[in-house]
Amino acid sequence: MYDIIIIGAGVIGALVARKLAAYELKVAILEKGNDVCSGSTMANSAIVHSGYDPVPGTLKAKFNVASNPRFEQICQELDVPFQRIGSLTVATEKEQLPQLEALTKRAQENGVPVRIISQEELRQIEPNITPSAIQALFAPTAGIVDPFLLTIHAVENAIDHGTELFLNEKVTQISKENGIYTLFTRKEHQYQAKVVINAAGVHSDDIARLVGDEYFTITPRKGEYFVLDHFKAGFVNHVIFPLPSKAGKGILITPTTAGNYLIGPSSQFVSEKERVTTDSITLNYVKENAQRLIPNIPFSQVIRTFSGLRATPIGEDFIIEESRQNPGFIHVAGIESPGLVASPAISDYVVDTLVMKRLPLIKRANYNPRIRPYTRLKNLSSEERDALIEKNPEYGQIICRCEQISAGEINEYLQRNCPPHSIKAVKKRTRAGFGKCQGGFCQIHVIHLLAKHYQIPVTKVNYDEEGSEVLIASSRGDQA
Amino acid sequence: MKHVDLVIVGGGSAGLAAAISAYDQGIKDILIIEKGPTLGGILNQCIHNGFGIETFNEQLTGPEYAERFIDEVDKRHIAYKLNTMVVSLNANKDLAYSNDCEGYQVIEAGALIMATGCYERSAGQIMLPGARLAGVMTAGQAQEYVNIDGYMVGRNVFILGSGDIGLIMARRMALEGANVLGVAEIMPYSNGLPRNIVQCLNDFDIPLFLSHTISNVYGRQRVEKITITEVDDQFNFIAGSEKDFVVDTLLLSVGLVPNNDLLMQAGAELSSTKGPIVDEKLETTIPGIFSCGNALHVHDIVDYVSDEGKLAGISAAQYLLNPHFENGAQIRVLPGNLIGYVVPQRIDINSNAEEIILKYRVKKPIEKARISVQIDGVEIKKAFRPFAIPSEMEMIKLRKQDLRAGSLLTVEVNSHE
Amino acid sequence: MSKIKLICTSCPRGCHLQVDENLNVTGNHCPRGIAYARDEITNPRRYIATTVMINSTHIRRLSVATKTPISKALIFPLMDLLKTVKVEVPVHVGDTIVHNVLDSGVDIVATKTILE
Repeated sequence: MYDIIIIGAGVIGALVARKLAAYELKVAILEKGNDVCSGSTMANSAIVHSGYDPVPGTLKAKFNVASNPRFEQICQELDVPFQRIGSLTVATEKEQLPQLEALTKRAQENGVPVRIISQEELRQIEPNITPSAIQALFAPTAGIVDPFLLTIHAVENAIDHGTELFLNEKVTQISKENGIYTLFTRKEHQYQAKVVINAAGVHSDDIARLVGDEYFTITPRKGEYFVLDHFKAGFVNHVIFPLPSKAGKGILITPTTAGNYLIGPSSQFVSEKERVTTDSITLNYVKENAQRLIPNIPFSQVIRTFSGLRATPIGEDFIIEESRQNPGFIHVAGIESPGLVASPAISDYVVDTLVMKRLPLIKRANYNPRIRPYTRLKNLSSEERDALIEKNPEYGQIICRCEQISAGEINEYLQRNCPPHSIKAVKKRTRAGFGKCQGGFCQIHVIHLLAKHYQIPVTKVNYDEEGSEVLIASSRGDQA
Repeated sequence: MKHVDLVIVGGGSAGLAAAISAYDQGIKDILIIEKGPTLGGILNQCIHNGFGIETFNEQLTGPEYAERFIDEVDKRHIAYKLNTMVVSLNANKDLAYSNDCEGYQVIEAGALIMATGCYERSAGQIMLPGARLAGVMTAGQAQEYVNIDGYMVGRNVFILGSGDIGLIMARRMALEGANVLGVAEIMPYSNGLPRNIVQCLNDFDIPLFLSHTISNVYGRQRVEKITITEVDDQFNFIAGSEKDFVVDTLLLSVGLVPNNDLLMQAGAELSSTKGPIVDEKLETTIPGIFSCGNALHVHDIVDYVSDEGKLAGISAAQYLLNPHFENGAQIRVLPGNLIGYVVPQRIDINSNAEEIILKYRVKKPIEKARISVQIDGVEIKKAFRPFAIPSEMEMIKLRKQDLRAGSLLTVEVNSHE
Repeated sequence: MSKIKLICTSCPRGCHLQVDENLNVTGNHCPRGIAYARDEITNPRRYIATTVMINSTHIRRLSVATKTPISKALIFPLMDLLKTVKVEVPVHVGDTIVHNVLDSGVDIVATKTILE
C-alpha cells in the first residue's frame, strides 16, 4: 500500500517523484518500459526554452517561464549537463519581420528577456547562418540540457530516499474503493494508493479512461530528427529556430550538450502510439527546411535518425488537474513542448497544490536534493584519471572508442540506484554506443558488462525492451 | 614524458606490416598499440580464405594471414600493448593511451604510423527507414558475434548490400543454419567478387535483388519484417515493386569509412573520403605522422594493405633516420574524369623513390578503360584495362622519370571504344 | 542441346563459361576455366571455413577450414559434425582437427594458434 503511485517515468514522473521524496511519503513509480525515460522524454529536441513562444496566460507560458531560471541549480544538484547557449529565431523574408515584432511583444508579456539582432551581429555569432537571414530574435535565457540524465538522475535521487521503481509494469486496469485506487498491470500485479499521478505521456488519456475520465484526448504528434556527429565545435552556437507556425516551433538546428547537432523535428499527427518510425520523405522535408536556415549542413556527418511522439492535447494547453470525478487521481497530461523546460514548475505545482490537498506533506528530515556526481573520465585531468585507474582498473578499459567511455563508468551506473537493464539504457546514461560507429565496436562489451552484473547469459541481454535480445543463442552446444 | 621512437596505432594487417618493415630499416624502439585482445585486427574474424595470393602465392584464411605477420613481429621482439586504447593525439606527436594495467599514460613519439582501420556505415548513417529495432546490425558486427564470440544473431536473415562482406556473411549465416532470404543491392550490379556471387549466393540458392533497397523495417522490439523496393537509375523508388520478407535479422553491408578521430584531433587534413591527405611517402599533413591501410583508404585486397604498411614503415624509418630531410615542392594530385579518388594526394616532384604508386577507384564500371595520368594537362603515363569497377582499387605506377614540374597531376579514365 | 552457364572463379576475371552435355567448355580465357567448368559439373567442391568450440580461457571459438576443397554435397553434414567438436588447447595453425572428415579424403585444420 503506497501513499502515491506515479504512472510514467518520463521527465514529469521523475521530477514529481523527486519532489515527493522530500516528504515522508511512500511512493511507487510504475513504468511500462524496460527503463525510465523511454517515451517522449527520450526523443525530443532537449531544449530549455526561454518562454517567449507560449501564449501568455497559459500554463505553458507560466510554467516555462517559472522553470527556466532554475536549471543551473537543478542540473548542478542532479549532475546533469546543461548549457545556457541562447536561441535565435531567424527571419529570412521581409514578410516575417512583423511576426518577429509580435514575438518580441509576447516575450515582454511573458517576462522573458529578448532582443532583435541585426544581420551583421547574427553573422558574427553564427557564421554559418543563411545569407538570406535578415534579423533574428535573440533569447539569451534559452539553453540545452541532457533529458536522459535529468530524468534518470531525478529518479535515482527519489530512489535514494525510498521511492520504489517498478519497470515493465503497464497499467491495464484501475479500480477504486473507499478512496483507494488499485492499479492492475499486464503482468498481473496489483498496486494500491490513495493518490495516483497520471504522467503517462502519450498514453495519459488511455490511463484516464481507466477511471472513467473521457474529457481529454491526446493525439500523438510525431517528429523526426537527424543526429550529426560532434564533427566540429562551433558549427552552430545557439538553438536556431525558424519563425513558428501553426505546426509548432518548426524545424530547428541545435548543438547538444554532448557536442552533437540535432536537426528537426517534423510535425505530423499519427495514430500509432507505440512504433516510432522514420521515413525518407519526412526526413527529406526536414533536411530541406533546415537548409533554409543553415545551407551548408554536412549531412555526411549524420550518424543517426530517430523520431519521437509529442503528447498533444486537443485543447492546446497542459492538462494539470485533479480528476473531476476521481478525487486523488491527478492528471499531468498533454505535456508537449515546452514540457521539458516546464517540468520543474509542473512538478512543484503537482505536489504543492494538488497532492497537498489530499496528503499531509511532512518534510523528510535528511532529504538531500543532490546525487553523488558521476565520474566522467573526459572531465578529469591526467593525474586524476591515472589515480582513479589505480584504485579501479575498470576506468582504464575503454569500451566505447568513439565516445571514449570506460567499463568503470558503465559499472558505476550498474551499481547505483536506477541502473540500466539494457544496451539502450547504458547508452542513455553513459553515451556508449552514441557515436559514429553506433555500437559497432562497443556493443559486445556492453553486453558482457550487463550479463556479468545481472548474472544472466549474454543471450538474455536486451537491446531495449524485453524481448529484444541481440544474441539469440550460443552457436554450438556450449553455454551462452 | 616517456619517449618511443616509432608508435604504431593499430595492430591489424597494416600496422603489423609497418612495424616489420620499420624494424628491418633499422628502427628498434617500436611500440604497437592495439585496442583488441590480440593482434591481427579485422583478419581475426575473416575466417574464410582468399587472402595472400599476391604475398604468399597461397589462399590463406584471415587468421592464417595475420599469424604470418604476427610471427614476424614476435621474431623481431617488437613491443606491443593489447587491450589498450589511444585516447588522444596532438600535432607534436604526443599521445595518450589507456588500459587497465598502466592507467592513463602519455608518451612522446618520434614518429607515428596511424593504422586505425575503418568502421562500418550504420543503419543511422544510411537513414534506414522504419523503427530502430533489435536484430538490425552491420554485417561485420554479425561476423564478429558469430566467428569470435560464438553466438547466433538470428534465424531468418536478409542482407542489404552485395559487397564482399555482405556476400561472405550470407554464406556464413547459411552455413550456421540460418535461413538467408535474400541480398538486396541498390546498384544495378554487385560490388562483390564474381567468385563470391557463386560461392556465397548461388551455392545456397540465395536470391540477389539488384537495383533494390530497403524501403521499410517493421517490428515491435525486434525486426519482424522488411520491405525492399526497386529503384530506377535516379535511385527513386518504383511504385508497385515492393516485396516483403518475414525476417528476424537484417544485416547491413553498406560501406566502410576510414577511422581518423585521432588524426582529426591532431589537426591533420582529411580528404572528403575521410582518409588523411598524404604524400607519396604516406606522410600526412603533420610531419612525422604517417597513414596506411583502411584508415588511409578502404582496400579490397589485404596484400596491398600489407604493401602499403611496408611503405609507411620505410617512410617512418627514413623520417627518423634523416631528421634534417625537408620535403621539396609538392604537386597536388586530383581525381579527374570518372575517378572517385586518388591516393596520394600530394607528390614531391624531386622524390627519390624509384616508383610512385597511384591508387584510385573509378566512379562506375567502365569497359575498355583508358587511364590517363596528366600533369597540367600533358599526359605522362597511360594504361589500359579491359574493365574497371568501383569495388576494385586500381594502381598505376609512375617512375621517377615520368615526373616533371607542374602544379596539378590528374588521373582520369575514359572508355576507349 | 542445352548449355549450362557458369562464372569461372579461378581468378578475378570471372569469365562467363558455357558447358554442353559433352563437357565442352567455351568462353574461357585460359585452361583453368576448362578445368573449373568440368569440375563444377561433375564434382563441385568448395573450401569451407567455420569455427569449433575450444576450451581456451579467453576465447570461445577456434577458426578452422577444410585443407582441400570438399564435395558440395557434404557441406551441411560437415557443418553438423563440426558443431559437436571441441578442441583442447594448445592448438597451432595447421594442426589437423578432424582427419579424413566424413570419409571424404579432406582434413579439417586449425587456422589459428591458441595456446591457452
